[in-house]
Amino acid sequence: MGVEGLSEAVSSGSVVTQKELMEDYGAGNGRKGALPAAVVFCETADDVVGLTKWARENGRKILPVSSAPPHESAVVQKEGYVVCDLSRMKRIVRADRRNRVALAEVGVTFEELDGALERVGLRAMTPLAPRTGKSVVASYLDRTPTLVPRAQWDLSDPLLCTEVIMGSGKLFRTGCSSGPGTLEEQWATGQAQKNPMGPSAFDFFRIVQGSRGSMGIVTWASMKCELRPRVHELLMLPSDDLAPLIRIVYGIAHARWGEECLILDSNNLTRLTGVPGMPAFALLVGVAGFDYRPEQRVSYQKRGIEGIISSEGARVSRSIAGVGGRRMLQVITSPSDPYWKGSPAEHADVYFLTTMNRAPDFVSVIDETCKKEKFDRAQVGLYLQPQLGGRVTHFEATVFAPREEADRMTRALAEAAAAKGAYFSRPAGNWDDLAYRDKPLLVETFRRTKKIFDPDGVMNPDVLFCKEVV
Amino acid sequence: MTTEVVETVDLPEAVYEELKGIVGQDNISREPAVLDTYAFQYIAELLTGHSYLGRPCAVVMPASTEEVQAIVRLCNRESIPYKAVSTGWGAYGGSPAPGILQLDLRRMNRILDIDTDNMIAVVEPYVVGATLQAEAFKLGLNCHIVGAGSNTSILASATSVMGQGTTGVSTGFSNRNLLGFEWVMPDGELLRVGCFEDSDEWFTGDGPGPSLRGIIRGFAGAFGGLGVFTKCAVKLYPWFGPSRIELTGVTPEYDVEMPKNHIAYLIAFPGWEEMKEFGNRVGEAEIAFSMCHNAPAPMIAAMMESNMAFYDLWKGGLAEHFKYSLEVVIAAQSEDELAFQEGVLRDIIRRTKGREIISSKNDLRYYVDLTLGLGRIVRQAGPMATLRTIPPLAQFMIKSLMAGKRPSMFAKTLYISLVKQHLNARGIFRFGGSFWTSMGALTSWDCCIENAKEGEQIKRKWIDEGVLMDDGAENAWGGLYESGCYGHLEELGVYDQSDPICVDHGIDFVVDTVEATINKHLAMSLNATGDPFHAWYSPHVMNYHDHVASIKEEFDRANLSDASVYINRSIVESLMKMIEDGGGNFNFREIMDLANDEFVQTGPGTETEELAG
Repeated sequence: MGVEGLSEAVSSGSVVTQKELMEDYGAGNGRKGALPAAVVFCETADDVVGLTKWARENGRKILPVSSAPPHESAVVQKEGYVVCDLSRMKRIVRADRRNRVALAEVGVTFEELDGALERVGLRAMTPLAPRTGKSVVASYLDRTPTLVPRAQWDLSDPLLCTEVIMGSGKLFRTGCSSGPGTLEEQWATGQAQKNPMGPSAFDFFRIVQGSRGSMGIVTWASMKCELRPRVHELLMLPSDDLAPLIRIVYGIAHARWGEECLILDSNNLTRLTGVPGMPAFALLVGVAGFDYRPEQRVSYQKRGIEGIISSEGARVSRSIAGVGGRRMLQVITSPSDPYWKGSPAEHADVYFLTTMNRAPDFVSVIDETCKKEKFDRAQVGLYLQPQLGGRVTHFEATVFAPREEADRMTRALAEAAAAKGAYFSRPAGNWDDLAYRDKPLLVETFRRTKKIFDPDGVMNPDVLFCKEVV
Repeated sequence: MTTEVVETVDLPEAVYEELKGIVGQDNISREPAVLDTYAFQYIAELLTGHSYLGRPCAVVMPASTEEVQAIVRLCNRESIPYKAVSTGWGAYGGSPAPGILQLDLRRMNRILDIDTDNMIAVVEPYVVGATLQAEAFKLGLNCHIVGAGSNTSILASATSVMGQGTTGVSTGFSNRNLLGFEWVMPDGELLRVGCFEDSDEWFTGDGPGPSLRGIIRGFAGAFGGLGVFTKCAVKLYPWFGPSRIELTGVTPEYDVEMPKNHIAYLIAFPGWEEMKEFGNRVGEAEIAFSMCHNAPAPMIAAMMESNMAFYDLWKGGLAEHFKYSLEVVIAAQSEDELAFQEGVLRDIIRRTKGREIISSKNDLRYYVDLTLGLGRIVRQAGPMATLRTIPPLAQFMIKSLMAGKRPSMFAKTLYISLVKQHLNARGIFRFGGSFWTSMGALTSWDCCIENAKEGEQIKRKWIDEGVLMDDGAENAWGGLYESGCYGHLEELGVYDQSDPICVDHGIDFVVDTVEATINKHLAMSLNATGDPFHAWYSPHVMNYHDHVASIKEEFDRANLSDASVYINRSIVESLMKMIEDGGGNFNFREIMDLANDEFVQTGPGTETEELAG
């Protein structure tokens, strides 16, 4: 099958069909998969609409990509795909201090957004040390956890409104950006695309989010931003034991104090900082003051948090293995280059949601599975991220090993975690099928939902619930 | 106004017996007098022209998910339209069409779990805000309660209706508080959405992959038009107060022991712009437990022991004194934190030219402000009005003082009304009998204020026409959500439901406000539910009705889950054509009547394929 008519369908985008230029998106660089039929660099929503209509007419499937390579999950697996590369859509349409919101196209990276936000006194909610070149919108669309649980009111945060091209080729806007009026007309009445709900009786953004492009292609999104702290400190608490850290996390969550709040194990701490000799676990808690009485805010919150910590008989450390709070804060919140986990060929992740009090059970699962699989436990890094104000915890295990071995282990870990009640809310990697195992009605419901918005199955139709479920 | 009841539709005897077998004979009824209690609903007159919706064919009261599922399956087998209601609040719980089977979920009233550490509650449909809050307080937690009052269903707000409430700045919005849920789908299949099947817990309803929360609701829900929700988990929030708030007195004259580190304020501003500024700053400073606006009329009404007492104070223009005002509650968990919150609040009040009218902490300020305020009242209300105010005000103050009530008591009354969410409903029904609401988009606080300004102008016209009661025109209610990420201010119109002029034209006020939100780009109002409003809004809002209708059609192919407040494609699209053909000149009352007639004739029970064809 050729790609006749594709160039005409995307008026401002460019179409690439040279094999060597397409290897980043599929088979190539030692990765399994297939080569796409073409890569289309879309520059406008009209390009995406044109591509979608063309794909429907020509029986092609579309894989959307918006970050810079190397691509990890957004990789073509089967024949017949055209890649919709949105990484050139780089406009930061608005950075709005008054409303603490930004509106950016899907190709904007964390480093690019942060520069724009800093100028107006804001900062983006970041995941843990994202790789440079990572699209902000893609990260939020994937529900990648961010570091400040207090600021997350819904697991969908910080994503707000979106512009989406459905598989039907229709352009749609979600939340209050849907109208009445254009964005400019909405801004004129003080609106800022801050309410993600609706329009009316459906939340299409929730259907698109987490779908890995299988429900539609997002071209821009508005997102919650945080005020840029005037004072910002990181409290660090090393511990050989996870249990007291968990009790402290609950204490902080129930007080609604703190900014960043996460637990990392020694392996991840070392990988992030490049410094060996890290403690078994460390709780990192940011404390910040903003535009009003910043020192006073930091002061009372620090006193409160230190009180919670001391009730566990522990004390805050000024540094961990020689790494001070300022540097650690910089490391966890800034884009990472080179990426601290290494290339996709050098690691694989398994992650799921649970509650913080169940985290020790899953640490045991990791320990036992490594033993059973005769895998060096020291090559697994753990990251526990409280989300949703501390109600939910993202549990992430990263296996640092050549990809094939890493994949074998993540599968084993995922199977073992599933048996203990792990919830794979963001299925990925070679364990994504576990999320849908023994759930025929759920799978059918997702498929019926997809059919509404993507009647011809154009949008990335070989992932998640679309795959054959065992 | 008439009190006629529309036609009776009988349920086949065999079906009735089968339903009796499911729920037991004590939990089913087809007595007309019983059925009419479900049809007699608040604002029914604005939808049907009289006080009744359609009479259901029967009412059943299931006690479990299994019973709900069996009923819905039976309805599908026998093509019987059905609608579930939990606590209900107005015409949304019933149907204008006669003959639906009403599922009354009042027996499903258990709090199934409160996970203290993880701040999550799992509830059945008839658990009301007051109950959950009382239990949560004992554990140092609180829940979000909607403005309709603490006697409304937590589950209905989270899964099916809306979700605005006065503590939203710290407790969010019902849609956003929903975690995992259990759903008897329109065809009777049972789906547990979220993590339950894997973890035996309910901590999220998102995924795996996309979130099905997106199909069951948006800023509004399906109002019973998409099956029945039988369990759900919601977020709880930290509560920095006692396990029980001690109250004395009877409504409205409550006295309350203010919890340590809690303070309630009423803060007034020179105008809307200062209110805008204040709201934005309080939101971003994250210091408020509650920040909301109640207009003077319902606030005074809610505080007074009689309508006469309200009127005496109201007629003199006292309300002008705090027309532009916000109620703020701060609730800290330590003295340090309280000092910070108080300090920041003072900073913001100063920068935004605010005036602390009353607070639960400071009596003296009240007298000082009132004295200083007299000059303002004279300027705004005029000397005659002021003179009229002084005797009832003096009488009120003397009476209050003799009864041992200090001004801070009113702040305390305000406090408990906001915490327990009972000010709005008490205030708004008090002096008119009924009300309808409009505007109220969930949007930036700046645009919320623009909504309130516009709403006030529109209302003035309908007050002058004698359709709405004179509540000062400005009667916006709402506040901030999620630390001020967005807010809402809805414009309340108070009317006498026994007055035919009010009933006939009450909708006109809503029509004008909807038109303003479209023409002036003030964001989509909370009226955007039900077919007539979909028909009007959808062409201006990405033709969203097409997608909502597709969801309804896909998951309720037999069209049996009553969609009178949700969506019916054929009705919406025929109304859209009428509006388009009218070139913008159309009578919305006619459109609403047509929609109701059409719904009654072809809505529930008519297969969607047939309609589409």
